[in-house]
Order: sequence, then structure tokens, then C-alpha cells
Amino acid sequence: MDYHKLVKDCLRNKPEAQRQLYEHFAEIMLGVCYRYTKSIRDAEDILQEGFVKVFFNLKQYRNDGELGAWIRRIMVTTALNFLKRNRNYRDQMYFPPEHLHPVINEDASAILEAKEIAELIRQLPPGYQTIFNLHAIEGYSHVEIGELLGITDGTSRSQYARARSLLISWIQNYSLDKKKETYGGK
Amino acid sequence: MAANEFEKNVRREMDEFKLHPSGEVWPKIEERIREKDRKRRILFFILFSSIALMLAGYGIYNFSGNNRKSEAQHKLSEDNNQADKNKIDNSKNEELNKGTVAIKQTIPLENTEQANKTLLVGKQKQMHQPHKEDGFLRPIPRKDPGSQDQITVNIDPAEKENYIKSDKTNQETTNVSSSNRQQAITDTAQREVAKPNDKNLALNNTTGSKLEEPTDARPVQVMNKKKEDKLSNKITWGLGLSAGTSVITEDAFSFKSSYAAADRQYNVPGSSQNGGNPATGGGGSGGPTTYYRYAQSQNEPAFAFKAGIHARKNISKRSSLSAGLGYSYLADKIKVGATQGQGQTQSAFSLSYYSGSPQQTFTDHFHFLEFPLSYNWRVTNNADHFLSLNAGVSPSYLLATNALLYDTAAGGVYYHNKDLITRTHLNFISGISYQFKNKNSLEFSIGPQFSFDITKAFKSDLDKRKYFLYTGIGASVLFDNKKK
Repeated sequence: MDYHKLVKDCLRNKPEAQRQLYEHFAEIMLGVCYRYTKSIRDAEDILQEGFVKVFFNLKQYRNDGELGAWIRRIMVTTALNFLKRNRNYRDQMYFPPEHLHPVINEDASAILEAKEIAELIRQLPPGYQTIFNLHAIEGYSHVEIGELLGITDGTSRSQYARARSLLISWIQNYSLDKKKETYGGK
Repeated sequence: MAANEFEKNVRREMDEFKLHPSGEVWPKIEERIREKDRKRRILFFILFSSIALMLAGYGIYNFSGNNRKSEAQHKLSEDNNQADKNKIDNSKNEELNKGTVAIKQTIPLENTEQANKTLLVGKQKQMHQPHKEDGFLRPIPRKDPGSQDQITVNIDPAEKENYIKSDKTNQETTNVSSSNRQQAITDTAQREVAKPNDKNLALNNTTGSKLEEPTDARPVQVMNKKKEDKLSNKITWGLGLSAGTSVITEDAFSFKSSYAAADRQYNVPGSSQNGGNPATGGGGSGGPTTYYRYAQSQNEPAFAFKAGIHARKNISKRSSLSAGLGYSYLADKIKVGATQGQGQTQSAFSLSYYSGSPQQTFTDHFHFLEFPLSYNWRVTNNADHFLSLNAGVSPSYLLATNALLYDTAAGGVYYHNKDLITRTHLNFISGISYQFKNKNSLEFSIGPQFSFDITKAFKSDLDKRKYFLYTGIGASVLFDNKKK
């Protein structure tokens, strides 16, 4: 797909191009939004808000970077704003100071599919869920996460470690259950 | 290492994680994008109108100044006539006095402290200058002191104020003030000639001579020029014809027609009905059925024209108002399917309806009676051929139509229903025209015209088409029977 032409047509307010851009990125971006929320409805709200921002700010996009990555950053920012704005999430987004927990290194994630991992991530408490998404998947550093969420980088580190350990234990349990189902309990 | 592997695996899996959004998301996004475009257009329109109004205000303000000049000039003319009469009436007295009086103001009017006036008596005018000490005017030494007589009049400043008009900034008005003062001084002088003992009159020399015409012809020249520019307040009648294209747009103040959406499929669980698409085959027997809907076709511009009569009245030197009565034919082309006969399934289908399948072109005809009211502003100076900007409103009433409306029912159909078509409309009209006159007092104009409807064409929201847009080239002739 010629992103350069697509962006150009979108900037000319061509409805076909705008729809094409949306259809090309909507699924992957909904996957991003989904990981930050507890319901698909909220994820779609973020997706909608994010794409409106994308179209309104498309003139700021420079063709030197990857369009998908640019849209993805907008989606993540929109998701974070949504979490801060929405009381259901905001009230649970507390970050108590915690000590670092031991990390389980056993990698069970390899045997799970994307959808299953995403569902487990979504079962994390909102604070853990957000920090895990930002650090493990989006690649933000703890300093950046601290700036984004208004917490210290140490808090981000400890929250991430806790989230990671929880997730790994859940993945292990989930993979065990899956094996039992696959091999008939043997 | 293993720690990094966990993150890598999760990231890799998540990068491939996709979810299909529901069909409601895109229409909402699209609506918000269009909403912003609409706001931008409205903002642009308001901005454009504001600029036009400011320009118009500037024009009116300037004209008002000219109009005041004309009035003042008219007064000046009357004053001059009166002065002439006074001269004739007083000629007998002057003959008796064997003295000729000519009056010349020699002091700058801006000098409010200077209240002295000099009356020149004699055949030639003479320059004077105020005396440094007492402010009285003293004559400049002449080569031939015996050839001219002069009277110096000292006018009280309070009395002077009665002569001076309030508008000091207007040079022409100042001329009138000058004339008033001049006339007043003339009268005073004439009276004082009969009463030479008055304390305000210092008679330097009363040697008789013939009455001389005022030597300053400048006000008369200005008067003649202003007469030419005098505003014509007559109502001028004209005929107009405009031809172009019209289309029903999706947004107000937009030049874009509604665009075609993709046909859509719906899975209806447990439905045995089949939608409007024969390609999907027959309906199921209780299982999920694919329901196919034809989307509304994209509409296209069609030929349109307007004709009517109008009256124009100048409201300033550069601006005028036009009001008229006209007929407007607008049209819009859509793609429809085959006729389905009399509508039975939907109460709205009062007449025969058409399948939504885009097979043939159908032209919607609209016949309007309209009452345009516009403000015209002449951009350029030349009054014989010039550019003019026009803007205004035009209420209109739909007389007749054969329009088809789109409905999503029954797989997408088009149908007639006049109850769902708005009859009363309001349009914003604007245009640019080049105007010129010929020798037979006919005034022609030609230029592009635009008409933006701000009333929704249909009362149904299922039809995407909303606002009429007309673009065309208009020409008109005005019968200006002004006597030259």
C-alpha cells in the first residue's frame, strides 16, 4: 500500500481514502486499545477517538516514519487519557509502593496464542495492566512511563515486576489447563 | 535472557493481535470528521461575510462622507444663488454708495484663534496677513495702493462659531462653512456699509468702485463635480437569467455531492428473508440468512437554471440592494434500479418505488419560486464598467418535484413521497459580476453565481443528500432610464 498517496488523499478530505486508511489499521489498533481496557465497547470508544485524532492531526505526520507506528502512538496516548478520564478505571489505577517481587523466568507465553495472552493481560488490575502494556509491549522505559502516568520510575519498575510475575503465573496455570484439555487430563 | 524472551514473545504475539471492530465505529468517526469540516466551512463563511460587511461598511462610510458633501454642496449652491440675488438686490444701494464690495477670506479656517476677516473693496483681491500684536489683518503692501479699497471686519469669536459647521475634518464642508461665513460677512458688510459707525467695522477706505464677482471659483468647480457624482435614488428594474448545475450535497456550504457508500451485508440469525440482492440466493429456512443492502448511489450534478425579475436601489455610491422574484429549476442525478411497482410493504411508499440497484440514471427535478434579496458592492471605482460582489439570502418555495428518496428498507430502495420533501427553503446566495453600461442606458452584468441551501431537502435522515447547491453563470440586464 502506498501510504504516501493515502495520506495525501486523506489530507484532501477524500472520503474513500479516509475509509481505506481506517480499514487498513482498524483491526490492529483495536487490538492495541483492547489490551488497555476491560471491555470491547471501551476499546472501540478509544479506537474511535484515536482515529478522529489521527485524521485531525494527519498533517503533522511526516512521511519519514512508519505510519502504523505513528497511529499506534496516538492510540496509546488516547487510551491513557481514556483511563485517566474514566472513573471506573481511574479509581483502580492506584500505584501503592511495593517491593520488587521475585521474577519467574519460566517462559510459558510461547505456547499461548495472542488472544489468550491479551485476555490474561486484561485480567490484570488496571494499574498493572497499563504499566505492563506500556513497558513490555510498547517499549516505553520506566522513566517515560513515570512521566506519562505521573509516578516515579521506581514505582513503575515495581508495578511492572508485580504485573509480570502475576501474568507469568497465570500463563503457567492457563497453559497447564490447556495441556490437560488437549491431552485429556493425562 | 529468559526474562527478555518473555517480553519478546508477548510483544510478538501482541503485534499480531487483531480484532475486528463493529460496523458502528467508522460511521461515528466519519460523522465527526464531517462535522469538523462543516464547522470549518461555516467559520469560513462567517469570516468571508464579515470581511464583505466590513468592506461594505467602509464603502458606505465613504459614501456617507460624499453624501454629506453633496448636501453641503447643494447648500453652497443655494448660498451662492442667494448671494447673487443679494448682489442684485443691493446693487441699487451700492450704486448709490458708488462702492463695489468684493469679499475675500484670507485667514486659514483652521486658525480658530484668528477671528478677523478682511473685506476687500475694489477691483482686485489683495493678500492680507494677521498683525503680530493685535491679530488684526493688515494688507500686504501693494504696488498700486490707489487701485483698491479695503474694509477690515473684526468678528466676535462666538459669532464666528455660528457660521462654522461642526465637521471641520471635511474639506468640502469647510468650504461651505467658508461660504456661509463669506455670505454672512457679505451681508454684514453690506449692512455695515449703510452703517459705517459700527464698532466692529474698521473702514480703511470707502472710495467707491464697481462690484466685482467673487474671484475664488473653487467651490463652484467642486459643486459641478459633485453634481456628477450625485446619488441616483431611483429604483432600477432588470431581468436576469442564470444557467449552471445543481446537486444536493451531504453538508451545508459544501461543493461535494454525497459519495457512494459500499453495499453492506448483514447476517440475520433465524431469518428466512432474503434481502434485495438476488445474488445471495433464496432465503434460508430458519437459519442465519445473509441480508444484502444496496447502499445509496452517489448523486451527480445536473443542469439547472434560474430566471427572474429584480429591482435595484442604490443605497450608497458603491452599494445597492436588489430584491426580486424568480423561478428556479434545480436537478440532481441518481442511479436507481428497476421499478418495483406500487409499494405495498411500506406505508411510506405511496407511489411506485425503485430498487436500489444502480442500473439506470434518474433525474430529480425541483421547481422553486424564489425571492432573492441581495446586497451588491461595487469593487472598482469606474461607474461605467466595474466588478461587483453580491451576497444575500433567498427564501424559496418548492412548487413541484418528482424526487426519489432513498430508504434502507427492503434491501435499499428509492421511492416517491412528497410529504418527506421540504417545501420552504432558505438559501445563501453570493456571486461576482462584471457590469457595464451601453449608450442606450442599459446596464449588463455577467458572472458566476452560487447558492447554498441551508434547509434540508428531505425530512428523512436515511437519505444522505441534504442541501441544494447551485453554481452557474448569471447574466442580467438593467433598464436604467436615467436622463442625461
